[in-house]
Amino acid sequence: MNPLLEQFLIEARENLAFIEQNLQHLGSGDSELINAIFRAAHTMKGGSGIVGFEAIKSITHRAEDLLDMLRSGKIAFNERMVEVLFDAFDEVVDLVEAAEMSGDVVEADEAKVQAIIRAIDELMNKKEERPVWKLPFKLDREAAWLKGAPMSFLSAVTIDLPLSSGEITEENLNDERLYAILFDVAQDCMVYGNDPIYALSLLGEKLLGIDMAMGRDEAKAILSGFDDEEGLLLRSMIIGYARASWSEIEDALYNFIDDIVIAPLSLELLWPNEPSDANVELYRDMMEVVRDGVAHQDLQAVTESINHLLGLIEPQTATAVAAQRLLRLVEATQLRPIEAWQRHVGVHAVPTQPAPSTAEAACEPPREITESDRETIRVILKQQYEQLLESSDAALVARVAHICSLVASCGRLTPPPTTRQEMIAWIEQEMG
Amino acid sequence: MNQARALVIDDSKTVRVYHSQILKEAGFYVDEAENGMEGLEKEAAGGYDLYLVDINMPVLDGYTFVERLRAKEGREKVPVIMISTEAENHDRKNGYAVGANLYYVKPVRPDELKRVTRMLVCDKIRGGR
Repeated sequence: MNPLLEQFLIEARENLAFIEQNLQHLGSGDSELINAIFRAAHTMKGGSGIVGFEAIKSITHRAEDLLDMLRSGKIAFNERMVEVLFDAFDEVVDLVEAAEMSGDVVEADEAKVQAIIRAIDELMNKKEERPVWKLPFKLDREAAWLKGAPMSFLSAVTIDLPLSSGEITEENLNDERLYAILFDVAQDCMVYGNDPIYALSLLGEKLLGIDMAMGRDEAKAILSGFDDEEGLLLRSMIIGYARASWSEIEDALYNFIDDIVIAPLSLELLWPNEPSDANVELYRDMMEVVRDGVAHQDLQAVTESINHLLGLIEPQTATAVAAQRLLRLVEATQLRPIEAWQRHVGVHAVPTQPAPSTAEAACEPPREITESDRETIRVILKQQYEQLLESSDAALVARVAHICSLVASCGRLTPPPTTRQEMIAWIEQEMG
Repeated sequence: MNQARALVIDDSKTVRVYHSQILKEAGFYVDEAENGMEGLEKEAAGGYDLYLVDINMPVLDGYTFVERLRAKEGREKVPVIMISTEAENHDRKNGYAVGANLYYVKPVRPDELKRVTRMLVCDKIRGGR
């Protein structure tokens, strides 16, 4: 038998014996006892994860959750808990025995495991207590800020946009989608070294483009001479376009997560606003045909209907401008799924390759540093970066400096600086 | 060349065996402790080049262990990796706040753990003590 599995089974036996002896006293109010039972379950959860014993992991994880709620006073004890937990750990005993017999991890009866988990969930009042799921980001369904997305961007890409974005739910949150991400960048954002363009670039290939504009209200205030006693405050609006899952966006934009606004891109969202001139009725009639044509993937009907309207009205009217934009948008998307967006860059170039460090540029490429090493260096540096952004505590900065110097020496990077701000910049440079 | 010394602190023997084995393969001399208190006792007897610390343990938990370790003279910067089953962001932040250098969620891939730990002691491995 795999020695690690053997060790896990021995340890699981000890923990299960402890649980069996003490579970009946769960209602005694002895907090140390509840803690000890919790830890026994916790230990089995950790060990089963390491040896890949999924059934034991699922059961002990749930049992641990229940015991955690009990020890922290989130739920009150009732007799049924003892019964349900005995059933749960009895199943773990059976699984341990089966593994001892076979010498390997065994598959459980999935229905049985699910029944145990449901019984524990009921005790935790999971259905009632579970907070209503909320989107983890600020969603903008209207996204007025997207109406002006540069046509050069939209027509330079081929898009497989859905007609409308549909509901984002807990279940489909991490599906890959096309998102527009709006940073309403405050004038002081760089004070803490938080650069939105850099953060966006962490999305790598998932980032399709960046577009910038001055924040509209601020622009008005500046031009009118209002609300700006200090002079010209520049407040810009940055829109990143990405095809990514929410967790990828969350990872990259960690420092901005509370400030960004997100819109899942859809064709409808990019359609121009309804014009407000004398031709609006004609525009509405056309839109009926367009919507129908889009729904039926009938590109010809859509373009004919738009061209028909353009033939009826003056070219310089708001309706004509909106219709022309719509036409170009429809043509760009072709109303059908197309394989991929091409990268298109607005104001800022998106770095695709990390700039070579001076050390690497100056000498021949290091022989022993593998791609895996580089990945590990990135993981270590990323965690140092998180710490620096989180705190300016002197002891923490010294610790980070020490780790950076170890990694730099081992990974043959440029020697790191020692002040917090300089280290932040150094890590950004080294991580590309 | 001195062999780098590591202390693995975890209340689960399975986890200790798993992590110790990986560190030994990475070239470390490894000691083990069952909780933070035993960790402090072992470390008082000599000190290590690297600490691998679990969070949830009886007697003395991992956070308190790291906090007390950092308060000792000469241990302010020694590499400490926290490895826990807790994947929440606040656990990670707590780990950093008490003085951990790195935070991983169990189980860590053996190759990854080997690379990370070697890098953190590469000054020792190269004999630069």
